[in-house]
Amino acid sequence: MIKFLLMVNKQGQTRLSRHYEQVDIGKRAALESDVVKACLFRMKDECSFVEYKDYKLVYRQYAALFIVVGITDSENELSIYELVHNFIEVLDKYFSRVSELDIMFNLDKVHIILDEMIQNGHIVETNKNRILAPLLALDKMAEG
Amino acid sequence: MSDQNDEGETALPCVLITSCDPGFKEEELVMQILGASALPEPTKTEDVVVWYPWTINNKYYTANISLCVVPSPFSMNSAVAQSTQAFIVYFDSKTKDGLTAVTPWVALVEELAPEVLILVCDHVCENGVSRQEAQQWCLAHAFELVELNPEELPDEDDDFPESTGVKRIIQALNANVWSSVEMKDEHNQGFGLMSSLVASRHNNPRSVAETQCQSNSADENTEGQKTGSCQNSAEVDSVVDPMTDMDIQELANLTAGDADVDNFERLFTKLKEMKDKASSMPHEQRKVHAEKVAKAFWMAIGGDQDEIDGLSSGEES
Repeated sequence: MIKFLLMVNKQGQTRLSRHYEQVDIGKRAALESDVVKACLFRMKDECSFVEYKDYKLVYRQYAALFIVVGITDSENELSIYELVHNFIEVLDKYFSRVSELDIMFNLDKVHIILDEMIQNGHIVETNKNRILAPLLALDKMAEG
Repeated sequence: MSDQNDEGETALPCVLITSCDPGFKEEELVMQILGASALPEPTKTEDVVVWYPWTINNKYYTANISLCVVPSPFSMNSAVAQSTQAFIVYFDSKTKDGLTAVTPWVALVEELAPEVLILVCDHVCENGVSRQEAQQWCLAHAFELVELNPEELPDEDDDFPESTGVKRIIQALNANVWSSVEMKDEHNQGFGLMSSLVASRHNNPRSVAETQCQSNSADENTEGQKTGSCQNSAEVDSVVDPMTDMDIQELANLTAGDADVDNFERLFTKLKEMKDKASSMPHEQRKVHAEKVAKAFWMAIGGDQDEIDGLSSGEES
């Protein structure tokens, strides 16, 4: 199961966080900075899977952004590794060359995309067109 | 300079630029950021502190800011301290103790707490400050390391290549919400929730609860928002029970306060709480409650009153 997904910049600022398991609001900041440190400190040629406490972290770096996913032991790291890439590709497709700025100023849309892909900590959709369909419909509506 | 005592005068937000390497002049970095071959006319000079103008213009916003050169912590002044929103420090990576020269800045920067923190050097050196050492320092102080001339260039085949050097510095400075930010309209619409959160952060620093209705015409900039919230509380007061009113007030505060991730999450937790509360109500009452919450939320995020005016279902059905 997926416990959480974070998007963090190189300075360690959280740009997006989504938890699929209840974590007290007060404890999230500490958890996030801890997790981020565990990943940011690693060298480029090190493995993208990190043992962390009683679970695992899967992370990937895209330009200046890191995506970090916390998963339980029973989850398949490789599938999550691919999920992260798929998520980025969907964002890239929607924003045509996604950047940190796009994520900062369209956080609502990024959440919509993420929620099409992951529900309750499980992957529910991987097809890019189907993931984007509801958001594109909403966009059409907003345009009038 | 004489304006400094005038409270109404707010200085432009600035990027504090400094160098801890006597062999590297801050102005060099200023020119590179501006992409100019010569320094522009400073907007202001005070003792050794110099301000240069810069306008950030990207897809989402424009912001007028200053690049402010401060040679050492001892030349800091209150004008700089109050307006610093980003901090860039150059250090000499060729000597072993290059990072110790940065230490005097650390406490000061912690106090100012700028959003963007960048540690710059020419390139990390094995015999001087190594990558690992620099990285570790950055992690401990929440800085980002940028090498102006890195030895290992990022993989060109990468679909999402890392930027380096001044390009990365400019990118990082773009990825910030400056207090002088002016959003571009076309991106402000959409579903509007997040952009209102971001926009309200600086336009309306006081919480809605504190914003009394009498200050309506106080300043034109935030007038629209203020009248919005006034209408909101006026309307809400008359129809909602005190508990719900408190909840709605909190929602309004959350949307008007700091637009950080925690707040955003809290907003949704709050909405969920209110939804849970409604689930224990009888069916009809529940519909009315849901409608009130939705309307209040709409008003709280700065939505247009007209949009929801004709939508009342609770009363007639």
